[in-house]
Amino acid sequence: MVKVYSFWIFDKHCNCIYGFEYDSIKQKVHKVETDNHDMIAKSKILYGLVFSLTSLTTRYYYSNKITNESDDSLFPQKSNFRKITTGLYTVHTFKTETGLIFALLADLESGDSMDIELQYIYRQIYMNNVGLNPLAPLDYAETETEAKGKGFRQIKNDNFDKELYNFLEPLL
Amino acid sequence: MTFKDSIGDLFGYDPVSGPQIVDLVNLNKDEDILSAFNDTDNIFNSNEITNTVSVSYAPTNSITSTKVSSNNQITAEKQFNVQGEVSTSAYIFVLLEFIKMVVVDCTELEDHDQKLREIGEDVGFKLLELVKFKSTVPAILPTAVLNEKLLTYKHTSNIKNSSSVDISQTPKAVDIYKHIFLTSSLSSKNIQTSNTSLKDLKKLSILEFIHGPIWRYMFGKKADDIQQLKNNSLEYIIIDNDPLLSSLVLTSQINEFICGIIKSCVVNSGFECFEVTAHVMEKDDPDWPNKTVYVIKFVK
Amino acid sequence: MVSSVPDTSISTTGSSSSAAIKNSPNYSNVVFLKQLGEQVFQQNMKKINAEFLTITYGSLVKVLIDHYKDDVEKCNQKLKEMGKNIGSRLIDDFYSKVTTQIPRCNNLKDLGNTLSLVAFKLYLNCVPKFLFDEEEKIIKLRFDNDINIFSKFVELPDEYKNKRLYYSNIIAGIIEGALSGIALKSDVIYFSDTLLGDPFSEIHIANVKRIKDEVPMGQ
Repeated sequence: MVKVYSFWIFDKHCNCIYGFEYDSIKQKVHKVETDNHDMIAKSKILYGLVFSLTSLTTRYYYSNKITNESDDSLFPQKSNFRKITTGLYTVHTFKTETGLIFALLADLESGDSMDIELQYIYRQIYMNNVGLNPLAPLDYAETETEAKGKGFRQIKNDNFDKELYNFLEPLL
Repeated sequence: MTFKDSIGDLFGYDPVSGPQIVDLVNLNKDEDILSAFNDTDNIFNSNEITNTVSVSYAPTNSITSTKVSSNNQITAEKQFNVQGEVSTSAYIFVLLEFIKMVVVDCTELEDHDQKLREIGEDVGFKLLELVKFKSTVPAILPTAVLNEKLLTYKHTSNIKNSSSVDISQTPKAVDIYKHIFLTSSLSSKNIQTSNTSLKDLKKLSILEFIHGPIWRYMFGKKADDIQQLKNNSLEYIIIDNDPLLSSLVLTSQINEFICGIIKSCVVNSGFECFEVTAHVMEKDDPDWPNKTVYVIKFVK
Repeated sequence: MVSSVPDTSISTTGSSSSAAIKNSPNYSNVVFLKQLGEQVFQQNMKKINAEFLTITYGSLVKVLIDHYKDDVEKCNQKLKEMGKNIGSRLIDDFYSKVTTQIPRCNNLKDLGNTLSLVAFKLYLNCVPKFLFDEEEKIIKLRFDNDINIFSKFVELPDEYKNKRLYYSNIIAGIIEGALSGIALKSDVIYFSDTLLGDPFSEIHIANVKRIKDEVPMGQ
C-alpha cells in the first residue's frame, strides 16, 4: 500500500500556494499557512530541490539538442523530471504547461510513477474547484514584491480541501 | 487570331457587327447559357441549403477568365459552416465571467440576483420568440420531398431535347416561404416541430413548451418532469435531473439566470407569474447529485 | 536517481518533412491538428446550442453598455479585461481537454495553426483562416463570412459604429490571456470587424515574446 507523506502545489512565481503534511504519530494534518513557519521552511526546501534539479536536467538536455527550424527563444525545449528517489522516500512531480508544479512525497512502494494520481488531482480536483472558479484569484502573487518566492498567499477553498482529502485519505 | 476570338463569345454580342436584338427564344437556344443555368456546380444554382458561401475569384489577368459564359470563372467553394453547437465550457466561461462582473463591479446594486434574473428575462424573451418561430414551421414537407420539389424549378430536362425555358415553373410565393422556413429551422435540428399553436391558453401547455422545445433548444435534451404541487394548484415544478449548466461554483447565480429565462417565457406568453425559484435537491436521489427543481408560482 | 523524460510526445512528426519542402505549410502537421481538433471536440466536449450562447452574449454586452453609460472605449477595455480573465483559466482547461496529444509548437506558424484549428474548433466550433505576416511576425486570424458566432443576429446602431465598439473584443482578450498563461507575452488587437462595415473580421497577434521563467531569490 502506498503511503503519502505530503502534498504540495507551487505556482509560476516560485511560491508554495498549497501544501499539507500528515503527521502519522499525532494523526494530524499540518497545512501551509502564513503563520506556520515550519511548513513554509519545508516548502522552500522542497522547491529548491525541484528547481535546481530541473535547471540541471534542462541544461543537460540542451547540450544534446539537434538543431532544426524551431524558434527556441519563443518555445524552449523543456525537460521536467518526474521523480527523485532516495533511500527513504520518493518525490513525484508533475509540471503543467501553465507553470504549476504538483509534488507528492510518498514512500518507496509508490513504484514507477504516480502520474495518474497527480493528473487526476490537476484535471479534476484543482481545475473544477480552483482553476475554473472565476472568484479565485488569477495570480497568487498580487504585486511584484510577492513574486520570486516571496509570496505568502495560499489557496483557501473548502471544497478543494474536502475533495483532496477524500482522494488522498486512503493513502495517508 | 481575330478580334472576336481574342475576347471570346460575349453572350451573343458580336463586336464586329455591333449590337443587335436578341430574341428570348434565341437566348434559350444558347447552350452556354442553358448549361450555366443547369450547372449543379454553380453555387447560384445549388439547391443545397448553405448558411455561408465563400466565393473566391480566379485571377483575372488571363483573357479566358473574363469570358462571360465561362462556367469556371467563379470557383465557388461551398462551406457548410452550420454551427449548431459550441462547447459548454465556452458558454460557462462567458456566463461566469459576466456573473462575476455583475457581482463585483455593479456595487451600486443592492440585489445582484435581481439583476441576473433581469438578464435571464431578456434572454428568455428572445428565446421564446426564436423557439416559437422555429417550432411552428409547418411540418408539411420533409427535407427530401422539398429538395425534390425545388429541383423541378430548375430545368432538369435534357438540353438537347428541349431548349425552351418554361416560365410557369418558377416557384410560387408559398413554396419560397417554405424554403425560408426550412433554412431557418436547419440550425435548430434539436427542435422537433410541434403543433403548438401560437396562443398557449393553458398553463400546462406553456409549461410543456418550456419543458420540451425550449429545454431541448437550450440544452439539447428535454427536462425530466413536470409536476403540480398537490397542496397548491398554482405551483408547478419542472425537474431536471442533470442540468447541463451545472458548475461547482456560483450555482445559485446560474440558477437565478435560468429562473429568469423561465419566468420571461411564462410572462411573455400571457400569464401572470409571481416568481420562479430553483432548488438543488442534493440528497433526493443519490444517482443525480445535481438534480434541480424549478418551482413556478402563478398568480390566479 | 533522476528520471528525466522530455515533455514532448509528438515532436518529430512534422520536422522531417518540413526540411524537405521549405516555405510551404507543414501539411502533415496541419492535417494532424485538424483531425485532433475534430476528434477532441466530438469526444471530450459537452455541447450546447450555439445560438443560445449568441443570445446570452448579446444580453450581457447590453448590460455592460448600460453599466458604462455608452462609454464605448471603456466597454472595449472591459471586454478585453474579462477576456483575459477567461483566457488565463481557459488555458488550463484546454490542456486538460487535449491531454498530451497536442504536438509541441516549434515556431509562430505552429502557434497560429494550433490556435485556429484546435483552440477555436474546441470552444467555438469554428475555424478562422490563419494568415502569417513573415516580415512583421504577426499572426492574423480572419473570420470569413459569418463564422464568428458571437456576431450572429447582431446589427450595431450607428452610434456605436462610429465610436468603433468591438463587439467580440472578448475573443482578443481570451487569446492574450491564454498565451500569457503559457508564458508568452503578446499584443492582441481586434483589427477589423464586419459589424463596423469592414470587409472582414480580423484579429492580429503581434509582438509575441517569451516571459522568462522566474528564479527564486538567491539563485
